[in-house]
Amino acid sequence: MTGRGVPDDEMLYFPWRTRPQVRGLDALLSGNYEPEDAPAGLRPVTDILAALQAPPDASEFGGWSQALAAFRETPRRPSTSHHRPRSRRPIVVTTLLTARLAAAAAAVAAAAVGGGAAAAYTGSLPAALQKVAHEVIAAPDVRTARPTPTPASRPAGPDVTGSAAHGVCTAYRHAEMHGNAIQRAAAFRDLVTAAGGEAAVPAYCRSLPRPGAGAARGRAPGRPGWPGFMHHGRPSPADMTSPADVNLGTPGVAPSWASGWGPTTGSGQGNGGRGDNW
Amino acid sequence: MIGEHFEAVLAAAQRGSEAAFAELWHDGNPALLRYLRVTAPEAAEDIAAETWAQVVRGLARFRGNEQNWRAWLFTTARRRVADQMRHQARRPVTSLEALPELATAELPGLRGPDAATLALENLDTRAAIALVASLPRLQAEVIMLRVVAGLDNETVAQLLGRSPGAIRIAAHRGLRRLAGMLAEAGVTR
Repeated sequence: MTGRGVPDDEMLYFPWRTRPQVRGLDALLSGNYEPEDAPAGLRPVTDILAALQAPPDASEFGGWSQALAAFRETPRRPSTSHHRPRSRRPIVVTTLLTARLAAAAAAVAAAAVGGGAAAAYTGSLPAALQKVAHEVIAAPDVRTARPTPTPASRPAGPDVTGSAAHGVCTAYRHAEMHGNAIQRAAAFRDLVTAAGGEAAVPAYCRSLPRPGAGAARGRAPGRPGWPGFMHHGRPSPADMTSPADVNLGTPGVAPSWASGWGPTTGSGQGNGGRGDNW
Repeated sequence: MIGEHFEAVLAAAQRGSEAAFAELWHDGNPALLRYLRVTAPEAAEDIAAETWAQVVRGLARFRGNEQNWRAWLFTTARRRVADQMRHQARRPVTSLEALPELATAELPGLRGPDAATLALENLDTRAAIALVASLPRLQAEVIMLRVVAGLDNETVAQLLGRSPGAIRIAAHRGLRRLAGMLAEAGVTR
């Protein structure tokens, strides 16, 4: 990125005027710098920027269960596919569970009013609830309502080292893109087992060696930081359609994302290659 | 960042794959929390949760590449911060820029040289965040969006409703101010 695109009147107020300096600042901010490339006077802050990009610790993953709950509760629009979308299931299950719990609660209330019957009913209630829970948890779709094992309960799964583990992640991604429901379920189950829980899957897959993929990820060489979110390449041209409720919301700014990330060519690697069978 | 698999991961998450959503979340949440610890330090975790809840609701309709995804995530977070501040202030505000520098005000003892001293002793992520939080709000936000969110200058300019030149100036001033804090505390390099 350079000063290109900045109107001349803004350039008048630039505290630094030359392109090398602009490039140095951009490199510093985007993490693609060598210490000697940092603009003079800013070299001491490279430690601060590196610390901002340090690998995450456990405290930064504390909200996962809440996020997952939100994900499970969110209704999904009907798929364009003629297949019944898998994602309907959690809603149905939740509704069923809610209905049964409501029925149970109503029964308890009725029993309380009914006096003598109360003890008998309340005595059986925990078992009834447990049964409902069991039915929900044992639902055949492995992706729904399954308790997420904690990393502490990591099972001794398949060979989780080296190329075998990498293969599990690859198989999972392949099944995600091309497989049928059974293949997806099997790949997912193996992966969760290998990772020690659903929550651990992304970190697990990311931690694996990826033969030959390093250069393509656009990572800055030699950076101490976390090989994640912060190390980004240039945005590739792609179509961008904003969800209706997403606007910048700032007066004077074009509310459409398209002004900056408008439709361009070059997104041909997209949907065309994906089997749309789910 | 997720990189070459982003498109597949996003598509799977949009179809309801929890594992794919987990990948998006684990990739994005640490950066989101760090950003929020600068812009809304008292409520970072809550706002992160609200942000994800809102993102999940719009996920099926999202179209874009990974840079667009990050821009959306942080735009959503920024709007939640604005809502939070409005709620706290119990009075209408017109923009984030009109608000006082809460990040500084809510981190007593972490301004200027004190923050630099802390950072000197233990330059971990939390200390670095505290240092950035002591900057004027625009400078702090620009630095976090560029360095932690991984957004480019033009994207940050759109997100903040400023010109690209203004964003560069803010970034430069913020970095110089950080360098000044370190120099004041006796850090040389």
